[in-house]
Amino acid sequence: MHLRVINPTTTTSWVPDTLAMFEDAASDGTTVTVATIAAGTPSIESRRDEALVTPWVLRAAQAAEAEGCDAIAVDCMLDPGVHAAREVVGIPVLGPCEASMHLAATLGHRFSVISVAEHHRDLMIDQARRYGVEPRLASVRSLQIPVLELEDDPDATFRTMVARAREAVQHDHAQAIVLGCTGLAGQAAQVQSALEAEGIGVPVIDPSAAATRMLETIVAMGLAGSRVTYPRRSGATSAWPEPRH
Amino acid sequence: MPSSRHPVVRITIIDPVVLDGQVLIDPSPEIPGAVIERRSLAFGTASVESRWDDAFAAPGIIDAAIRAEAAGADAVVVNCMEDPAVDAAREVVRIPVVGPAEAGMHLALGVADRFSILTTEAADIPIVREMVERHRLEHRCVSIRAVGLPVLGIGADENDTLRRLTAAAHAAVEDGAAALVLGCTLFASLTDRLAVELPGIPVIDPLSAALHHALTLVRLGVLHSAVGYPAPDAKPISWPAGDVRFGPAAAEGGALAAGGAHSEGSVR
Repeated sequence: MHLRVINPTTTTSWVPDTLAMFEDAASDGTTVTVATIAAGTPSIESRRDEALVTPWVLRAAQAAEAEGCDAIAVDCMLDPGVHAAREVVGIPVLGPCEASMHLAATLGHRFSVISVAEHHRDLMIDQARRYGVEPRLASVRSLQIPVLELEDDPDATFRTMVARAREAVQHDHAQAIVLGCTGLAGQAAQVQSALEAEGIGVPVIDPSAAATRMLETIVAMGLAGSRVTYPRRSGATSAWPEPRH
Repeated sequence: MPSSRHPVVRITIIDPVVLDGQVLIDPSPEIPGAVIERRSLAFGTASVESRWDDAFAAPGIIDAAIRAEAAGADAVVVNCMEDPAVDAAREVVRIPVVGPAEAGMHLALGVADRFSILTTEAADIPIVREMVERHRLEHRCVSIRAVGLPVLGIGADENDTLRRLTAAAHAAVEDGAAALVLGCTLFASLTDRLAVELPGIPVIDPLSAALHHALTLVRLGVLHSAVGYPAPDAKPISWPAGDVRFGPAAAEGGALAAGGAHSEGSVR
């Protein structure tokens, strides 16, 4: 299967890490490619950013289907464009937030999301509501580090992730942790080990890996988005700026 | 294509019934990257379709999960849509324990916003509803429809079973279902034929969903929360058969052999 990961930002420096993270969870026989959107914002940290990148995610989704891809993952915890894309493309489209929240719900009664900025709390609560798992969401705890600064001091970012996860378990009664930014992906196992070493046995979920495996499952089982939930649309636009090459 | 990047995952399906000459009518689904073993119960009932059956299946499921872990399984799947003893088994093993209902419903929500469950008999509907509510998904489950067949009647006439499933599926779509979760793992062999009748509506075979989910958990290196499913403390358990395992491996010191190291009537 050919999995197309859409990088829904204009920041191309993340692409090698993104590719490695999705490939890490992918099965033998799954080929992963990453496509960066043609225009938009360098990160997605607000509803404004989400609104600006979404049309370009949809264009990238159409391109992925035209190129013969079997499934699409949009690499951002706001899952921008995922549901709109399902109206127009026929191949499965999934976001890491949807995949990781459903996965978390199978591992404990309540889960918490470790997000990046404080104002992401409401965005993550909205996501849990949209996916039907809000009753299982214990809390959203934030690192309070801007997305574009996550890699400036990786050790500090890691320590803060562990601290927020610990607080979620001890104060919010979380039983599972979802890393709430795909910029944090690839560190789930280390955060889980650090907590385990403190005697806190909770699963820590890497959203990119969760999306990879849920898409493989959907493809292997011959499923795709429901045409009741996502009726087929033409995908026409009457005026839209073409990207400059 | 690279050579295998992941070790083969060993998944044990626990058929939560006493076979006693019964032949399993459902083949194990093929899951690339996984090898599948099956275990049935030494004590329990012939099928699981009531709270009563659940109650009598649960001790054997706990025992089978502990044995599967001791035998080197990477994950277990309890092959019944009532997810019997899944929570209890999670307290005593540290490998993923997956229930088809839980896995099937969450997979359905990955491809649709609303689902219905097609169960066996009308009497089963309240039990399925309780299960849905326990997972807090009642607002996403638009209906539970019964096909009007007992579990042990599903394999008797495949064409009749398919006709009944198709009728129930159309009724569920009328109810507003955007996806269908088959409500008995024995419906699995009819999944593809049913899906043909319902273009655009995902039809989910819960056993396949559970096996894929088990593979996902092992691949990601996660399993049920130790905080949410703490291991019970060791204590004496009175049980009239000697060769059973009910305690977590740590509590038993890993010493209880399959042959029954404890005398009859006293196991931990």
